[in-house]
Amino acid sequence: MTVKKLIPCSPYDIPGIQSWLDEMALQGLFLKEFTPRWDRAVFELGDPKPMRYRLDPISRNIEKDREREEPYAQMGWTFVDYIPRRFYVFSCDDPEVPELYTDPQSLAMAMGDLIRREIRNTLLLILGIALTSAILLFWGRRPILRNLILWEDPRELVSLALALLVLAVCCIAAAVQTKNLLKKRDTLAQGLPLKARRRWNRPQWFVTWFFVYFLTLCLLTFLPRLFLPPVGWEIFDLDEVEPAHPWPSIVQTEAPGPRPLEAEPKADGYITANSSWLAPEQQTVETEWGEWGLYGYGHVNQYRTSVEYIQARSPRAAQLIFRVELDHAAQSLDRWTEWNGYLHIDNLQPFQPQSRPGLDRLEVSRYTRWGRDCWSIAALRGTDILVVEYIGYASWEDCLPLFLAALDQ
Amino acid sequence: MPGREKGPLTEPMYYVLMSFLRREMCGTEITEFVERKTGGRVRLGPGTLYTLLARFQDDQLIAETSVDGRRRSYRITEKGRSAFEEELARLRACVNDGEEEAL
Repeated sequence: MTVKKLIPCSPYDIPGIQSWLDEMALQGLFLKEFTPRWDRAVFELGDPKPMRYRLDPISRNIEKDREREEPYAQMGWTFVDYIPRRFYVFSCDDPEVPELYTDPQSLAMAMGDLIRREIRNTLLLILGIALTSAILLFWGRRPILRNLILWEDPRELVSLALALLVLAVCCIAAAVQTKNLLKKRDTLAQGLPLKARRRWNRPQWFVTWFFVYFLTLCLLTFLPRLFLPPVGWEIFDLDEVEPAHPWPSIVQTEAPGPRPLEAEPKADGYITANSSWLAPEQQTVETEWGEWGLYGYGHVNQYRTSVEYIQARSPRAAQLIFRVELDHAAQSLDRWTEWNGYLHIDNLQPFQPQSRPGLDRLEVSRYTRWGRDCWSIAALRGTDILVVEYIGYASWEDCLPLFLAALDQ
Repeated sequence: MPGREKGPLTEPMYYVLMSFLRREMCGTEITEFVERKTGGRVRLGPGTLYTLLARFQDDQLIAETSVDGRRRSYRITEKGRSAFEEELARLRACVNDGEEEAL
């Protein structure tokens, strides 16, 4: 008949495990084996008697370790089971037989391979985590940087920070465990015995893992949702808030073009507003108007203007934000060339630098959308960043002065 | 290796190395030799014995001479002999120093 008991010690607590197994033998429970996850020990019932259980570190040469079983048995120590990757467990019921390790220094020597393995595993874990984090951060560097600067999705950033924190905690825990093992080896090497650590009530493995996963998941997913809004920015109707600057209307932008409009149409649209430490004022104004016609809404005479305005904290911050926004705008255009939908574009000419007095930087991209020549511009002036995406009939050369004039007001 | 490069030998190391001075030996013979030599003061557990043998082999202080089933015999090398002699000289000096002061 067998009995399973949860192991109340860490797998590295040599004297703790030994003394616990010795105590179990005095209660008539004799170790048979450990469960594969090493959370429980399986005991065989018998008449209580003194028994010694001792741990022998697993070396790098498993074959040589196996060869030792016979001489160990001849010297009174019988192999029972092993703690995966760490220790063999031997037992002896003869009190006259010498200890498995009669001096601490030799046990310290025997732990050499185990410690080297632990150090290697810890380094590999840290390296793996660092490499994975680096790859993920590199892969997502653009949206992360943009999010960080403009604070568009704080939840995402907090989740990312928490994930990195969890990984860092894993690395620190592994390093601390290895350091403790080195400390044990040093204690033994000085000829001092190890002290058993306090026992603890180990929960079932699935309880542990459930809480580990559940708490990690909560920490990464739900916690940011409890305290942070879904997005940093707010959204308003066009008539709900005043734009940061009086951007030109559809009539004004079309006026210098080949098809001026007679009256200002009632455009649809919205305004989003946000602020962050680096960019205290962020506003996007999207206006759109289309004629109902034979070909359906908006595909014949549709006008659409998206004006993104950002005021940075300093000119240096503005340069950084300009680079990020230009990159973001270029990526959006690239995506639209591949996207076979409403905003699909063709004949994309990527952003090209242009020079214009009064502007620190100006980049222009041209493309075809709904059969019309359209353009996007990104401009930097002092601490102001302006990104305009335009669908209409006028050229960017004609429209830019209107936007710059609005920026002055 | 034990001796000067890695500090003094521990007592079990000293006696295990000593056991090879006259002839080659296997594990159980070493245990018996050490117990007999020290009058039971130093006893070698199997973990200690086989860890020391492995270490001495790695440090080339002893060499394996024969394998008969699970029984392996070893002999001391020149390097092992000089390590033992160094340790012996160190211990002699320790004893002499102590006796000088005690008298």
